[in-house]
Amino acid sequence: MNDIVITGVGALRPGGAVAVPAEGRAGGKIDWAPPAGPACLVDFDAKAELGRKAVRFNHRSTVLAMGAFERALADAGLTVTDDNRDLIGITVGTTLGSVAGVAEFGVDSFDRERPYVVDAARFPSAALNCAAAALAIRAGLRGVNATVAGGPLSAVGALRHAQVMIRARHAQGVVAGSSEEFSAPDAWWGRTHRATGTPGEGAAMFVLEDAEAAAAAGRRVRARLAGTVVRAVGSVDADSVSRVVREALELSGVAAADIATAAVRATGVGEVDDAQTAGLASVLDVEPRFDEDAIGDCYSAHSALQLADVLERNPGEAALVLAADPDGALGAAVVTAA
Amino acid sequence: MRRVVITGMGPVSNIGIGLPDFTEALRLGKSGTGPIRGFDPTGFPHTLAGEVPDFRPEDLLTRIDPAEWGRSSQFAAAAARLAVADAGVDPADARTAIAVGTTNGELAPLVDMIEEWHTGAPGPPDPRAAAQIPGSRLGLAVAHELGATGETTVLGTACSAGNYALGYVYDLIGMGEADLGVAGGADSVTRFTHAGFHRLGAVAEEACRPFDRDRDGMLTAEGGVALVLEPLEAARERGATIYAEVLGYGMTCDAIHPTAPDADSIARCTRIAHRRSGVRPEQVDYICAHGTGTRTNDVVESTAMRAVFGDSPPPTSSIKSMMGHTMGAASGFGAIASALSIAEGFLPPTINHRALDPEIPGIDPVPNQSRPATVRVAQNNGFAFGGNNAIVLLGSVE
Repeated sequence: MNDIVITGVGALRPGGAVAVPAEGRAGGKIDWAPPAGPACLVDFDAKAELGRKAVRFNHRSTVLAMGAFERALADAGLTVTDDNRDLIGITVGTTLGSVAGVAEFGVDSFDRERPYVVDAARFPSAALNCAAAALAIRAGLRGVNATVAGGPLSAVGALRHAQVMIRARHAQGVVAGSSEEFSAPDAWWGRTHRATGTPGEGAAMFVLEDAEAAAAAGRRVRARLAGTVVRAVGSVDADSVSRVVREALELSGVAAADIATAAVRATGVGEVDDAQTAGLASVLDVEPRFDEDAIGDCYSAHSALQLADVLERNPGEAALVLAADPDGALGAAVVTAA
Repeated sequence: MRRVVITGMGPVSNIGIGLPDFTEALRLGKSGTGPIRGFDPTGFPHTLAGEVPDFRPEDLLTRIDPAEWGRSSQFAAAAARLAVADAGVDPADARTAIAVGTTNGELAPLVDMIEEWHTGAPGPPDPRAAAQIPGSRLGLAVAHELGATGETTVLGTACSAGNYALGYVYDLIGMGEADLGVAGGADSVTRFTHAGFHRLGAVAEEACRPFDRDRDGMLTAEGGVALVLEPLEAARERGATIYAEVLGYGMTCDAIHPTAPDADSIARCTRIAHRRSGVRPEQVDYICAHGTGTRTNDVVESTAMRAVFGDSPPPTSSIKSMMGHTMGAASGFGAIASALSIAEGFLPPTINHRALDPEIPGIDPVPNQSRPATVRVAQNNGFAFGGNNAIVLLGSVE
């Protein structure tokens, strides 16, 4: 089985919790106020960095993914040329793209006189693959282009998909990761959907490449993507968590004692979070690391941001990222030194 | 790579629920489109769609409670239930992989939520609707319905997502990472989808007529579809009915425009799919077209097929003429039609057809009547917004 390495990391990480302005970054057309309370927001001048065209019709979730994507390509020193544009794919993990983006596209259809006068340029926002497509157009990447709708497993699911694409030789490399935005509509939905405290936003993308191809391209290797596991476990309990963690370690060829960091996202569901902690403790020696105090709950992007942080701060260490979906799924990814 | 075959098929569609009805409908060229009932279409000049009014999830689902799940998830799970019953397998273990393709996931409850905010004021939405919205739930609905605890993924690659899902599960089984798989797609008709295609001038007034000189667009539609995949050896061992073998698939991305398709990219996708499947163009006996019924699609798809196959591509029919465009489920239904062309020996027709568009010479759309044929290799086309193309090749098993 071909080895897969991480040769580039790009992240847009939010800062600490701040008060959200009343207009709440709701987007162009919608000026709904967000729920009261602080949020962890990304300080990113998208217009300056990506240009007016990129921000005009794309929702924030896409724009954040694009910012992380460009940082990841630059970090890898990967220039898209006619020689590689068909060989490199993109996989974006998301929950539903952007509630704000869907709303901005669709609200005009509630008009009973002319419900069809919606903004055609924003129609792609209603489809889940909006961000992945925008990144491909931006970079001219014509390889496998995919979107994984993974909820809390968005990041692990995207890494898993990329791994399969490279193993099955559909692609030599895949830029994979996930993004999440803060906007009033997303925050209103998120607040009802999950009890995870301060909402956050952000995006992280990773350049994953077949190890031989990366070596041939003279790429610096940041880490090895050693293993990924995605399982529909029914109900999330400590046993299912330890089983998935063990399976991820086994697939990765990594001993439990070698894992230096275990990053976990809190789901806000007490028994699920207890199960994550207990399940990890039964396998690993390290205390799980939750990052909500620093970045809030970045939901779809949370695990990706955690992984990016581990790779930047603790290069060369073996680490595990665990994600749980209270609807009945667990995902884990393991990285090791190259 | 292990050889992978299709041994179960579950369509939940507006032309038939369950394989026998669906097969009969394809053979007869039935139409499943009609007036929109799922939302109030007042103000839309064109008000037809391909809803599934006969869908009663409680009649099909045996484990999950329909009230807990959105309509797209119900479609996905019901189709999976039908598919595993058709295959005669029990997928309740950790070696079963599930992949569901979708364009919009659970857009319908999201539209309701946004309407409340729009007509009232933003605030906490209905918790039950809020819980149903994540697209990931389409896959989890299937897993819970089947009791499967293996890999489950939802691929949101828009209108080719069914082929992406089929291909992904084929990869997993082929590489030995799963021993059984359920792949398919699901989507629901919504106000937003209808409005978007309407705005693009892409919604037909009376009927969907792909490849026709007088065609005027597509019809948005819904449904759920699932196919059971397993290794050829395992299927033979248990004496399963084998509909077709998955020979391989290919994917490309246009990387040009968010909504307009690109003929060169689709031709490249076709060539990749052929190469990976070990198929030469002249071996393809039937193409189940993407065939949405818009002029853009007809011109682009026929140009791409002529680029690969020459002046006379194999018979190329569109089942969207019968069902409308079921979005993320569409290429899953196409995969069933392709498998049936092989297993049952007939080409499903392009209905509503009157006169071939002279702009697309060389296309044989199998007009109006299904046609008996010996199909050894069938090609299933799926294209999408975002330039997400995926093409699957199916073959007969000797």
